[in-house]
Amino acid sequence: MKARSIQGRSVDELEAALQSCISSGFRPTLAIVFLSVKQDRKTISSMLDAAGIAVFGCTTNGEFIDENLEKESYAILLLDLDPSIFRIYLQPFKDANFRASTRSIGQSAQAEFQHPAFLIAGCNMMTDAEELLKGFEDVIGEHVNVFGGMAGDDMSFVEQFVFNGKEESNNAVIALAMDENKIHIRGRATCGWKAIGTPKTVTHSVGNHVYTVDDTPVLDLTIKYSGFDNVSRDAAAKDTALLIATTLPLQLQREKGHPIMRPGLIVNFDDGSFICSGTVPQGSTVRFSVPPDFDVMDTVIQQAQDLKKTEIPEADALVIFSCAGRLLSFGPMMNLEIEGIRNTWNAPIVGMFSNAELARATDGNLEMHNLTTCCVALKEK
Amino acid sequence: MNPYLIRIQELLSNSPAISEEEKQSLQRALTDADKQWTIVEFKLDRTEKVKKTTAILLEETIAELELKRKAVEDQNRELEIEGALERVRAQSMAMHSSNDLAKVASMMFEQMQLLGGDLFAFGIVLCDKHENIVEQWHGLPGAGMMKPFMVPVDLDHIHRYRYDQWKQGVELFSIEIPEDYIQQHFELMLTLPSVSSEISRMVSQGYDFKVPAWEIDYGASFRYGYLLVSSLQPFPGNRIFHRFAKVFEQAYTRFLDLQKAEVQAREARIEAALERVRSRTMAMQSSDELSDAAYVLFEQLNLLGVTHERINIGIVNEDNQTIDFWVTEQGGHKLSTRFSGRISEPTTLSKAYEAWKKGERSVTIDLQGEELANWLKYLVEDIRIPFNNNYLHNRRVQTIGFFSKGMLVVTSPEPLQHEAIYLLEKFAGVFDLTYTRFSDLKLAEAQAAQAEKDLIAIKEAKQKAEEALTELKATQKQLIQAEKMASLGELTAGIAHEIQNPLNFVNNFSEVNAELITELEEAANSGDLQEVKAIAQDLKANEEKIKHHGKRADSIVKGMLQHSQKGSGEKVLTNINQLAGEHLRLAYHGLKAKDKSFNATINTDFDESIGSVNIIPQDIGRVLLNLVNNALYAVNEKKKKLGDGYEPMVTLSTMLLAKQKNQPMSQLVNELIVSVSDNGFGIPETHRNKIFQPFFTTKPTGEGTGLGLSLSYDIVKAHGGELSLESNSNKRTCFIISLPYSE
Repeated sequence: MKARSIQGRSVDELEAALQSCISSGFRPTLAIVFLSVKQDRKTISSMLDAAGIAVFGCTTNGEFIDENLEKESYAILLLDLDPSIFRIYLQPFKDANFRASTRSIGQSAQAEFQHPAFLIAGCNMMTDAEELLKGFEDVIGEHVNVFGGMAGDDMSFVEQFVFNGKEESNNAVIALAMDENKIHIRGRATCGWKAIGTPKTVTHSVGNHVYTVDDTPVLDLTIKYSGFDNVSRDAAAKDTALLIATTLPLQLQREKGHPIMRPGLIVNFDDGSFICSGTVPQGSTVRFSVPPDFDVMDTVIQQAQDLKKTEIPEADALVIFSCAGRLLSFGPMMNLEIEGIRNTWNAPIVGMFSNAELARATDGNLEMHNLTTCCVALKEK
Repeated sequence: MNPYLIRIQELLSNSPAISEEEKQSLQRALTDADKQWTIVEFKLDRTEKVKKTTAILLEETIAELELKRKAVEDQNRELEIEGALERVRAQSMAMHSSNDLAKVASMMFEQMQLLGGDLFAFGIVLCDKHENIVEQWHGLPGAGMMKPFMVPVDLDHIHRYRYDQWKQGVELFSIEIPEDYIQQHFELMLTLPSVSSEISRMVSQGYDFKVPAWEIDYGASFRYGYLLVSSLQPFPGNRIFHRFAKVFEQAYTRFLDLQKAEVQAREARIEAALERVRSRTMAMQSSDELSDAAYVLFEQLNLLGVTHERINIGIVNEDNQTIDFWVTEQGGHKLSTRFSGRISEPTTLSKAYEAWKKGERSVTIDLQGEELANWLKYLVEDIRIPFNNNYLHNRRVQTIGFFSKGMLVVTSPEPLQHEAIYLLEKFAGVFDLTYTRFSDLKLAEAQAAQAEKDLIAIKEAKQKAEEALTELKATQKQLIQAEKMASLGELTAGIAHEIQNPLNFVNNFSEVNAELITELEEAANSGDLQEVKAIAQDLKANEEKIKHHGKRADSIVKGMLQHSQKGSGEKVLTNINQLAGEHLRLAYHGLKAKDKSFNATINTDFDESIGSVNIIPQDIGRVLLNLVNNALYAVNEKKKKLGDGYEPMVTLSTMLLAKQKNQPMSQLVNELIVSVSDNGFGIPETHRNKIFQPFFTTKPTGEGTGLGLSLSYDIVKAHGGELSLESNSNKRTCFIISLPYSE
């Protein structure tokens, strides 16, 4: 399998890039498209479709094809994969039954391939991404290989999209099913946020909407710990508040297993509440957490190297789903992490900053994560 | 780009001394430097923020830890309190008697002090024992527990307030005793004799009693009263008093249970002592053993804690006007002598006698001075009971408990406690029963000796009777056999007559036939065929008759054999009329054979509608034979006495009687009646109820066994029927057999 990644800001640039590919004898059949909501995704996807290239696409909070992180652009990974060994499914959500949508995809893919693996992207802030994973597990089994992320919208958290060559949706999941007998696919998610402070009780929440912790509006409480001087709820700018919410995520304590990250993704300034990436039950215990030390980037790179060493020594292409929160936390240093991963396999790369990541972490559970980097390596057998 | 770097960039670009190539190289270096600069700035900024966050969270963590430390402290305090309560609880669980209650109170006082109370006094105030008076158990620091004392609740407003709070069920209350009143409060307390004497005792033992300048009384209620904690300063954690009260409530409840158990145990000990006295007196064989009983009594009273010198058991003997005594020695040793004193003795015995006579339960005679001297003189000189002068005091109290035959006398140098008198009365009660029993026993023994003699005589008589019975049974068997043989004998004559008849026919016809055969030969020789045929016809007819009578003889012989045999004992369908006819004939001819002169009119009235009846034919035949024989015998006897003028007549009849038994009306049960009546002398009234008894007979000795009717009765009964008798003296006797009949 050959792969090539391209990045640009205009349709003309894309057209030129495609021309360049074709003239060089490269005949891509599949495009993994990460783009800003500001990009003309219809034209782009139509153009790819017209060129006989299947499209797996979603909007992002930032996208990259190398260590140069971009905003409001598109990043595309072109692959010349045999069309018989992959399928793309775009499945809208019906009645918020997220699990049923991926169960349906799983069943379709299972009819096509003996061992299907999936790259997925979901959209809509109300989606329970854990349910998407369970849908696949229901059909394929707990061992299923699923990697992916939740689509973004340049950190406005208003409307996100998934799309293929012909249609798009702001309330659906798109899945790229691949025949694992033909393609080697492995990935890993790494986080590193550390819990700090005393355990606190969620005193008012509804689903993933957290109002108060220890009877204090959760935003007020978070600002208190933020390290920002002279910031009050009234005075806080949207960006600052979001930065605070994502860099000081709640860690939901669980009876069994590791705590799970629940950063605030939408901040309500009126009542100081957060809408988190997943449910935070009322009465549950949470702790705040601080971003990991800068050496966590080395850790992510080491994890990638370990994955290469133990599971997939060579890769034709890499797909990265990295949390937007990491971008906010690590700022200019994020490039170093991406560069480290790219250098591990030295393969073409496409990546996006997502609202949530879907993968197995090092402890093995297939879960929805936040503040992780999920690195997926692909190799045609 | 960093403004400083921009400045450098400007300087470089404007510098003519640097080549373009160098400028480009420097520009790249500047860009790299800017990148690094940005990263360093970012790192610093974030580090700063994280540091602040961490500091705030750490502060919070420290605050949290402080809270936890406080919680641990509270927990430790709680453990201390629990430990204190546990010690109180343990002490209360270790209580064995009510005396230990003071120990529990002391333990509570000690523990409250250890928990940091600057306490002046601690008390348990029991409110529910008396009306408007409380019982206080008090402890003072360094002086231990005082004896409990009683305090009227109206002694002052402090006492009243505490009592009212308890009465209203207030769990925890407090009242200050201010400086200007506390002196008066204590003075009022000291007006109570029990308080003042106890304080005096403690002061005499070196306790430095001082009225405090001020105190606050805390009360913690429990079911029976309240704990009173008198503190010299406010006690911050006074909630613990309530917990002590709860623990004490358990202890006190247990104490009450213990008290109850103690009373029960005491009762049980008394019962055991009474039982020993009871068993000793129950075992008495003679009056002399009363000295043993006295010894046992002495010992048991001692064991029950009654301190006394000696005990007497006195039995009143009004006939001799004396009281007889069995007595222990002073100190309780046994003395096996009976002593006797006059009822008229004035100091003691007359008083005791009078009280006994009046039926009193007990009396106490307190001898002192001259009276005592007189009594002792009488004791030694007249009654001569040994007296040990070591026991001589200037007072001698005789406590006497009475029973119906006498008295128990306990002698002691001091009056007995109320309970000891109660015990003595109880012992007297036991004595009343056992001594009365002893007296009755002596009487009963005399009667028993006589009864034993009678019993031997009865046993001998019984032995004889049993032997006689065995003999009788053997005789009875023989008699039954004899009866059978006798009836067979009676039959024999009848049977002989019965057989004679057919035999006569057989013989006669044989002779006629012999003659006819001679005539037949003659007619044959003459060739008169007509005659030959006529004679042959006659011969044939005669042969038929011979055969008929031969068969009849055969059946008679078979019947006789049946009669003498035991028979199968099984019921078979039998023609009762035929059976009756046969036995009537047998009986009649039997008698006729014995007595040629006998003659009687025999009537039969057989109901021909009776078909076959399910009976044992041999047995019913025996009954019929017996009844007919009796009837024939009766009319024959009458005929012998009355001679001509009297026409003997025996009637045998059968009939079916439709008898209505129970409801419903439709259910009719038929009954077969066979009656044998005669017009003999009848059966006298006096004989009628004996007639069916075995061995009863009116026939001369040797003529009847007396078993015939008895056997008949049994046979009819065995058939589910009745054999009854109707008789008019001098006129008629009728025996009626009624048997159940079904078609």
